Amino acid sequence: MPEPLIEVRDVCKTYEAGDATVHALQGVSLAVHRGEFLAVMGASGSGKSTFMNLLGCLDRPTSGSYRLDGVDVAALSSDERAEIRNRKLGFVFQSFNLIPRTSALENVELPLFYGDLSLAEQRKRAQQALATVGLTGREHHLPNQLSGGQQQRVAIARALVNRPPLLLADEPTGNLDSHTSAEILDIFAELNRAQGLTIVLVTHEPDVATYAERVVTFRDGQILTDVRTRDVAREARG
Amino acid sequence: MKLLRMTVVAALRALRRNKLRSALTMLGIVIGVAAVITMVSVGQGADVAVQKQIQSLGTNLLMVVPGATTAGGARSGWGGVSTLTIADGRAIQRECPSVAEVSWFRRQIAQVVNGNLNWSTVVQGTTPSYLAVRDWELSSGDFFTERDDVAANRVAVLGQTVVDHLFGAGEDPIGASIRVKNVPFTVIGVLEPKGQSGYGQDQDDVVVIPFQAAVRRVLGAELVGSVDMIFATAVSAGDIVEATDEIGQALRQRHRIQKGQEDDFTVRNLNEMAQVSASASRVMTNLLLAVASISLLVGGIGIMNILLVSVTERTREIGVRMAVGAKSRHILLQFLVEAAALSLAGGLVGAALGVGGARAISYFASWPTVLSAPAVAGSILFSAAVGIFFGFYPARKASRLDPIAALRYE
Repeated sequence: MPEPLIEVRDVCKTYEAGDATVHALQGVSLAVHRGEFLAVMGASGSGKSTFMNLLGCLDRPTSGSYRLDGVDVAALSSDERAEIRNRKLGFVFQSFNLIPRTSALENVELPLFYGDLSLAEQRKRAQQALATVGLTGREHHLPNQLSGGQQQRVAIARALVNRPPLLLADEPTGNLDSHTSAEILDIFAELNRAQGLTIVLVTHEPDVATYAERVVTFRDGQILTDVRTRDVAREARG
Repeated sequence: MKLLRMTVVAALRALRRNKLRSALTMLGIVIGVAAVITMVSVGQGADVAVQKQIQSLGTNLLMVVPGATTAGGARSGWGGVSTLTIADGRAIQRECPSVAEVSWFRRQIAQVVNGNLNWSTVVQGTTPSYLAVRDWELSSGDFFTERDDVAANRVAVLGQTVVDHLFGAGEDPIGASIRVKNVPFTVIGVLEPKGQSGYGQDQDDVVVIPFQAAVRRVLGAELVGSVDMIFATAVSAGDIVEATDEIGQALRQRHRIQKGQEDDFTVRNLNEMAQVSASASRVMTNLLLAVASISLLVGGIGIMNILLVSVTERTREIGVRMAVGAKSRHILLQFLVEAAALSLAGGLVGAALGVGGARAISYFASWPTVLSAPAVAGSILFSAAVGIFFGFYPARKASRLDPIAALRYE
């Protein structure tokens, strides 16, 4: 058995909110292997967002360990975590988070800004990434000239441009209609199938979760269920 | 190096996204720098003009005037009855080794007539050495000689202003006969125009005649042998102080002034006048710098204000940048570079406007202006420094944002 890409062990996270202490995560353990497509579900307040922030190296656990691609990231400084985010992670957000009044191409190039590639190589990579999500020819469109689905595709291209092993998507279809949602989810499924990209997707819609092969449900800061649904999902999609 | 280049690119893109805002932010710096450069040019132009006027009195010139001029208390200088004599002048020439040439004069306002034209001007009786002492040239004709002086010949050399008032255009004054206080004089020369003196007097409004002719034929003598003022030149610029001391000693001895007693004359040199004008222009320069600093300060606060707004407005962008791998120093650098780019661009535009403004003032107002490269370069650099100084606080604020909170910011 190869080492898992994500290995979370006994992670706790507590916040001080006023004089009350919030236990957002209470002993979560999870292993995700390369090539998995995982959906994280749960009601709001269940701890799934906190968990995603930890997975995304945006935050550090109060206790417990987190190994990403063999590196113990729980102990890293904020600069080191920034580097991990740059090289190993791609983010897709519910609200796209594109930089306004900036062309699609420049938006996609953003992560490369903080890497070591030459300008020409950056441009080439960004164009490739846009081609992967089917946006060739829209390089110079501004975000407000693109539909919601197209904007989210630009965001996916931005997440892919650094060729990270792990893609984190936080409610990526939450702002899209069902038809566009299906298109975006098909892109995720295709990336997972063809390129072996590991994807962790947060959603509260059961329909969306059916695209994943494994569904983890959170409740009250703990994992409630962890179900492999590969066969179910295939049946559902016919 | 690459990081810096990328950061500059990112900063310029960000400024380009908000062209109008960027332009308005720069405006404070633009106006500040333009004002500095224009004012400094005008100030230095005035300074140079004053120096030139002082030089126009003559090089290495010392002036011995009767009466003591002390600070405070009214003293009569030029106005009173003169305590200086021709003998004093001769003694200075004889006894002071650091003095090259000596001249003395008496002068009076008098009516000068040529045909049906007349003009009231300064009639100055002086020695043949006057030209050398004043470092003055003739534009035509000759100056009078020692022989003319001894013989009290009725010859006159005219300043350009007098020529302009007494003679029609194209008329040659040389050889003409004019009447000075009803005494006929023959014009033998015309002085080269010298312009205004440091005091604002028109130095060309003068008729110069031999000293003896003035005393015996025109002005009359209140006291035999008295003169209004003695001019002397030092052998070289380095000897001015020496010469001043020597003249003082010689005259104190001749006038029998005891130690501790007040002198009945004053020796002035042009260095003193130059120093006065230099200190005046220093005060002016400091004032200008104060005004300039205030306007650049205001410009800097404008930049800080806009950057603070910008950091708030772009919180999500900062969050995204952090999420995709920007370290806090990248964010800090980006906003610092934006601030520096704004203020530097403002500085460059301001410098261009300032240079143009100085030229325009020279052209339209005919004021002399002198463009100084250090002032231009200095104000551009200073504006960039202002940008970095005032950009630091907003930039640090941006770099310390929590990425999670920044991504959720509405």
